[in-house]
Amino acid sequence: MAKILIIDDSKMSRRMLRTILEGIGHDIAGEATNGEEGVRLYKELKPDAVTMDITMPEMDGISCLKAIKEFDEAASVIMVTAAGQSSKLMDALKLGAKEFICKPYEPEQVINAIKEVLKNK
Amino acid sequence: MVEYLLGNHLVQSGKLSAEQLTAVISKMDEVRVKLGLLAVAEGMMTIEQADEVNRFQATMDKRFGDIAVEKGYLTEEQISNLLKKQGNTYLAFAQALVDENLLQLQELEEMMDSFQQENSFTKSDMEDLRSDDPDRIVPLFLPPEAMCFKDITGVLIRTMIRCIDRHVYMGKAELGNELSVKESAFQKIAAFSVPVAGYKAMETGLAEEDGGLAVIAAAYCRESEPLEKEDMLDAAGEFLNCVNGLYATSLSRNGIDSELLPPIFFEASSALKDTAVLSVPVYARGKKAIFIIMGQE
Repeated sequence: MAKILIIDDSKMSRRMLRTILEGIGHDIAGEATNGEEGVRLYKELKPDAVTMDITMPEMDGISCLKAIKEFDEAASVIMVTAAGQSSKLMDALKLGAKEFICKPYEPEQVINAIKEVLKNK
Repeated sequence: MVEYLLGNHLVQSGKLSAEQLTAVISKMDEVRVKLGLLAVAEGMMTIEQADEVNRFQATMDKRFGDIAVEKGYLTEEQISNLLKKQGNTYLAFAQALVDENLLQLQELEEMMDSFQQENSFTKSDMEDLRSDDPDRIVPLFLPPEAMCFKDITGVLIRTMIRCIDRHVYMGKAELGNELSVKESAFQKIAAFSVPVAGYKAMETGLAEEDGGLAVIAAAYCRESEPLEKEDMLDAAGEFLNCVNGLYATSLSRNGIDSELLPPIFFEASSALKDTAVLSVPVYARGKKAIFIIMGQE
């Protein structure tokens, strides 16, 4: 069982991810609704993995990923985003995001991505 | 789409009851198999390949068959054979009506003629309708001066068919400068690097009309119960984000960059005003919502 932090401004997206991840026995350590809150919760909770939306108000997913990576270079971050964000997704992968999932996704895609990032822990 | 477009005409003409139409469409569902499943069952693809194509579909607005051909898993000829096996929706609808003794083929053809007249469709339009191909059907429901919005409307319809309801259909769209809508979610696709159809940006929205937004929101989140209004709008915004993202991907393939801004929500009715406001009635599980596209100069 791993500790996971969900960072997404959409309550329903967080709920969907929570349902999938809790369904395979993981613990949702926290939920953040924007990048700033995400960075704060990452430092506080030190989760095993993070799911990160890109398009968020205040601080977006790219800035949040950068701040988390500066704090913890080994952070395991999965970008969860709609299609059409290819340049931002490339930025995220360059910054060290380990996986990405496109919305709308099937639960198996989330499960596989989490397995993949936790494999290296 | 054709099953509901024609089916509703049969209901309005008193040839079928709404319950009979629902039963006929359920019967069609029992026999229709998805193309990927059919390809696996026929031994043309592995489950892993079909899953991979499904995953690709989430990132690009393309049909299963087109992606499978691009990846070299299926040939055009195999796709053609699979589509024949899968069957045409119009023919499946006609077959189900006859099997259930609700209508004879002759009566159905007469109803097709009256449907054609009522909607001022040409023979060629009717062929497009019978094809059940969203790319051919969407333009039939847009005013000529709104054809610049056919691509994004097509993305919406295909994404709804894939994620919300495979029997989704649309009504005649209207173009104006103003529109009043009930509760709604909007998202701006900003800063096109090159103007699209003369517009520097677009904003799309989904508004409630007759329960359709509630259906879209719950289906997107795989919730069986209706959502509270705030959650419904949040989910509608997320669904809109997927549609706009797929549209932005298609623009990007043509060298046009854009940026998606976070969705915004209106819990009460609102009055919209812009250079061009297109309202497209869309129906999910028979319930109506309004898809809105605003072109901004």
